[in-house]
Amino acid sequence: MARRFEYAQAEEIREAFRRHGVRYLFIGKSGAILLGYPDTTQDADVFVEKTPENAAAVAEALRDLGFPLTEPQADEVRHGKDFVQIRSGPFDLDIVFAPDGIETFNDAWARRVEVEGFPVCHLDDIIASKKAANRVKDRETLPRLIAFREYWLDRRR
Amino acid sequence: MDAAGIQAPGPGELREWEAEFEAAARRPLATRFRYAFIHTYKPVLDDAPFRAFDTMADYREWCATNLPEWLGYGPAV
Repeated sequence: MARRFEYAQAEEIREAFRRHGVRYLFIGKSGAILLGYPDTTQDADVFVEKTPENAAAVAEALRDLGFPLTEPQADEVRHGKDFVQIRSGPFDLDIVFAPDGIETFNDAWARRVEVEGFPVCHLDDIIASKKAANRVKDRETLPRLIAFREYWLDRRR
Repeated sequence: MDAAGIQAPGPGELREWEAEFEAAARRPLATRFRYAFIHTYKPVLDDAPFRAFDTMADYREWCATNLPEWLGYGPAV
């Protein structure tokens, strides 16, 4: 069983993805937590640009981070499957190439927020993604997340 | 409730949340991480080391079909 995700591991992602030139954004509740949202979650979610070069770089960076990808698994990452869930590494990680509710990676990149060097989706994109996913757990989270958006925008003004 | 059907909080609940947001804002990011990331076993979801889905729709369908309802990964009605 993976250990819980820690700040040091987020730094390792940041450094490994930087070394390999991966274009990515934290998204989902882990992204919101980076922006200051107080809540709990289990895994880290990263939205990565869906290009062959970027997907290949993600596969290499994951191995660098200690994810024991087999060659067929690395190929699935390289092919840019829309959603990849990894539970065999040093922490649980979800890789999203095409999140619901966000048109393109470049759109989200243009709106990104940097927190201590971590690129994070804007809260509007995180909320849009959760609204579009429309899972039971998203519907439960959204009222508080939307309230946090107001608070967060006020603090940024 | 907004146009998307998201329930708005009551004034008391909103005040409570804002106090939580303020408290979180006073903590360094590393501390927020310590409080936020927990590890709990999720049946089925955590039972495979690796899964990949061609589309998000495939993933959502897999969740709705295979995961226990109480995990909350199914579609909201």
